Amino acid sequence: MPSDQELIKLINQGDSNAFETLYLRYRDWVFNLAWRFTANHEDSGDVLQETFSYLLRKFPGFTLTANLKTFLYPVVKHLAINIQTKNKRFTGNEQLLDSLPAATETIIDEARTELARGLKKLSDQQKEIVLLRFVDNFSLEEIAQTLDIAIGTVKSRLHRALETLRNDPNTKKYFKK
Amino acid sequence: MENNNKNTDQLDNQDLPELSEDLQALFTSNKLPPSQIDQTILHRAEQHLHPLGRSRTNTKLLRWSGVAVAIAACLMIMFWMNISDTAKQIQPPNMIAVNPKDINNNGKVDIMDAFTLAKAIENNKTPQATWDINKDHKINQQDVDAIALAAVQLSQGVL
Repeated sequence: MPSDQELIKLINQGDSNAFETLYLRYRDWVFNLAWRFTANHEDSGDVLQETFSYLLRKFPGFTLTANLKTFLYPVVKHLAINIQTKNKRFTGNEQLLDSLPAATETIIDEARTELARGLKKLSDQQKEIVLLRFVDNFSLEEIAQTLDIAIGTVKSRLHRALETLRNDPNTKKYFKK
Repeated sequence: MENNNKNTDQLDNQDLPELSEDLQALFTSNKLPPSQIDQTILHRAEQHLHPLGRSRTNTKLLRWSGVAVAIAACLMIMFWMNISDTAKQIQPPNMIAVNPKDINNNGKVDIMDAFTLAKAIENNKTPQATWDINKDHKINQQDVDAIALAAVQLSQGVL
């Protein structure tokens, strides 16, 4: 399976099949990330389209210096906020946490409902870092690079967030083996 | 037992697998992006990237056409030179320029021609029209001198 770097090299040479491979590799992640910010599938689709249009315009001449997700994350976030502002909808995953049962149209078990309640006690900045770490599986360095903040800031925000969750009756069970 | 053996800020989804699993379940959409978005994006990609591929091809064609022109030019020069050489090689004998100064008919003009003409005059041999080198209608020492002069100028003895 070709690496992202190999695909990007091919795309720079005009290979649209390589772009399709890269798109299919990151499509669902971008869509879910957009949904995390917008809590709206239609808007998430718009963000997905705009994100890859933005990426496409970088070619030829695009150079990837790090993980593609660390490149795409700020793009998705920015576009999602713009679309939300344009559509005058509430921005942020606070709305998502409120609307999760309706949005997913599935029965969310009690544990996940409690987790949603626990997450509401975190600030947006803390929540963002927790999600980058535990949903997107970013390293601390990648989080720092993605959010353009010092790694010490990442560590302190993550530490406070996890301590809040550890001490919350809704989420403390996750910290016990 | 709590995860006290690792700093809290170092914890990841391997240390807290249930938290990671539930977070992923919470923040993963149950819907897939519509297929028309795929088509739109991939169509844009085709439109945007196709000219790059074509321009690359054009560049390659341009580069190779330059080489082809150079090769063709070389071949034409070689062909022309070969034709010239062949033309020289197949030139019929009657087209060889006859140099009147080549008295002894050895194919070159040198001092021996002057000597041969001088001996012929001295021995009163029957004069030939071609011996009148300076075209003064007389065959004498001046004709010998003219050949000697030509021999000096054509020191390599070429025609």
